[in-house]
Amino acid sequence: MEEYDYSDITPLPIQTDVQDELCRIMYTEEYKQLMGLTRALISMNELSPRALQLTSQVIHVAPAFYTIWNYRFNIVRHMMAESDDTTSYLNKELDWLDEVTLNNPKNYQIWSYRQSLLKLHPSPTLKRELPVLKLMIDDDSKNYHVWSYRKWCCLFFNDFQHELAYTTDLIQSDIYNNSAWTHRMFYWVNAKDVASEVELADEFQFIMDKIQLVPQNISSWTYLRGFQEFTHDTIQQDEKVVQFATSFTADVLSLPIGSPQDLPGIESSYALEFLANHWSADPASRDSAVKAYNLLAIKYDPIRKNLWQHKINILS
Amino acid sequence: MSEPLTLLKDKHIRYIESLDTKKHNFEYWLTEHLRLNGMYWGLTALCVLDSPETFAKDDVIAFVLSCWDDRYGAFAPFPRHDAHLLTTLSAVQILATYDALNVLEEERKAQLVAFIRGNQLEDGSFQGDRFGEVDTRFVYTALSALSILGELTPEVVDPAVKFVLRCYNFDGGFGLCPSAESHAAQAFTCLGALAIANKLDALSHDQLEEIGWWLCERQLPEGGLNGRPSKLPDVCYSWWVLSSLAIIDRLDWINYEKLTEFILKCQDEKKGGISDRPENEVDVFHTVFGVAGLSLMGYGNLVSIDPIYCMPSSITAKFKKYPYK
Repeated sequence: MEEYDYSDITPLPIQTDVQDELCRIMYTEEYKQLMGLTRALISMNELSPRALQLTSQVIHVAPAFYTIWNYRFNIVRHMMAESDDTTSYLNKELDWLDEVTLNNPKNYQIWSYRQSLLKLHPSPTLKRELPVLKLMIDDDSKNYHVWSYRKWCCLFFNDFQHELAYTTDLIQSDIYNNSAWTHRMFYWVNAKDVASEVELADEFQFIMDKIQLVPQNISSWTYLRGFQEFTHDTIQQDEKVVQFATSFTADVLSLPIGSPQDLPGIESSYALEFLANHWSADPASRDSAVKAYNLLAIKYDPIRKNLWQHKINILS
Repeated sequence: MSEPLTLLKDKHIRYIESLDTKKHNFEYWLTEHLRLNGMYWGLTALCVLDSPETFAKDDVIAFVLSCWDDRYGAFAPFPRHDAHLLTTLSAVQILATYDALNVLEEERKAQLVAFIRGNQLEDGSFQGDRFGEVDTRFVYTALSALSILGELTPEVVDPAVKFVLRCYNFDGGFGLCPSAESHAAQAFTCLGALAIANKLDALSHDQLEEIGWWLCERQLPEGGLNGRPSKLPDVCYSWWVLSSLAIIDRLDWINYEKLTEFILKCQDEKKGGISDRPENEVDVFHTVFGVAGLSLMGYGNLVSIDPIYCMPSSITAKFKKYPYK
């Protein structure tokens, strides 16, 4: 790391003027020195290599201190304008940011900083972003900010070619990963204007295969319902899907509703809920819907019995 | 069998009180960038526990004012930090709770309103500061702060409402921006923003039913609530999910008994405070959202909290409701 001289700067004190004890904080000397120096440079709005170096140090100790990210961005924008090769200057900054990103998986600021850099970049590419995105998701497959950033990239570059295969892989390794399931829906909604009937039928098969593997999974059932709605005008799979859902309910709908302990266990309460919801749309099948909601309330999902009772009241 | 669980009110009051004395600072106040928010969480928890006087009002107000950032005309989390929407809301909430908004005087109030409005983007969303991080949290924050100040206008509200509605997802939840995964905290910020704008009727009956379903689906068999499907339960969602359900008038879709038990199990019986999950370390953030959730469920003699503003109902009753007559 390059050594810079800061001896001409008088660090600004970091204690407040307020004399009470309410918010005193114990700082280490090193932290005090670093922050004091930073505040001094910020107050002079110095946009220089040594100021940039200092922000790296501050981000290393206090990555959530958002003021420092603002300041760094101003420095980068200024120095980029003065550099001969904007692209390589910004690529260097992105390399630095990759490093920080990998060390701070929970940080928010990184992602909007990244977006700002890409918007500034004369020739940004999705290819450059994919490795760090992959590493971050490998590390925490439900990291909200990383997924949001991935979506932002798809839209920014208008490039969705990797998304379907990517979510297939992630669902393969964790079938409960709701982030991957919802990203898949994002793909269908945004990727292209029209998908072929074959593609859509394949997707139905994909979902049903996954549910077959793990029937009690809220994410795959919600996705199924969403996908059914999404494809409603293109492809009719209702009958097949209803038959499929029924296979997880151990025929409880044909049994008389007795006391809860006499009812058998079922593979999936979500299947029962899916059927109830499907049947409530058609007056001809309302009785079945009421029965399914009743079963949920008394036996298969009793914690939400008020919700199920509400559904029954609407139908009756 | 151990005794039935109860809320350890006095212990929680002592815990919050202990946070602003010398001995504790670093572990509690985390870092400066959350200081003013922390103050709001502590004060609100004390209000719900009917003990606001535990904090010295004058000291708190003096600290709030010391966080004023003259360059941007709004509040920073700590002196010499940059002003931000999140901390600006905390400051306004604290001052309103103390019925002390008048300490701002006309000039500062005008600057504050200009700061908030100035962070609105073309699509109706808000950035947290001029750096540009966009998030439905900031829409809520901006509308809530303007509402408390009685300064909402159609120019701000209408595009903001449009943006919030774009964050509604196929599964009945709301995301941090259009097409982002549904998250319980975002349900609160989106529904809260719509409620403040008096625009809940922009959601259809079917949508409200779906939203209610998605929210109560967050309750796990052990009673606690998670923020997204297949995640662990966490006490803070007792606030975000419950307040959201309260806003759309479907609070009873949650099983109170089981959730209450979960929250009470997260108390530290020795030093007070509430944690995210049983046996974890307590903090002020989970303490306020734990007691606020209990208040919404009508537990014990807790002071009533407003699900839209996360402030005592007796205070928010005095706010001018939009659209202004």
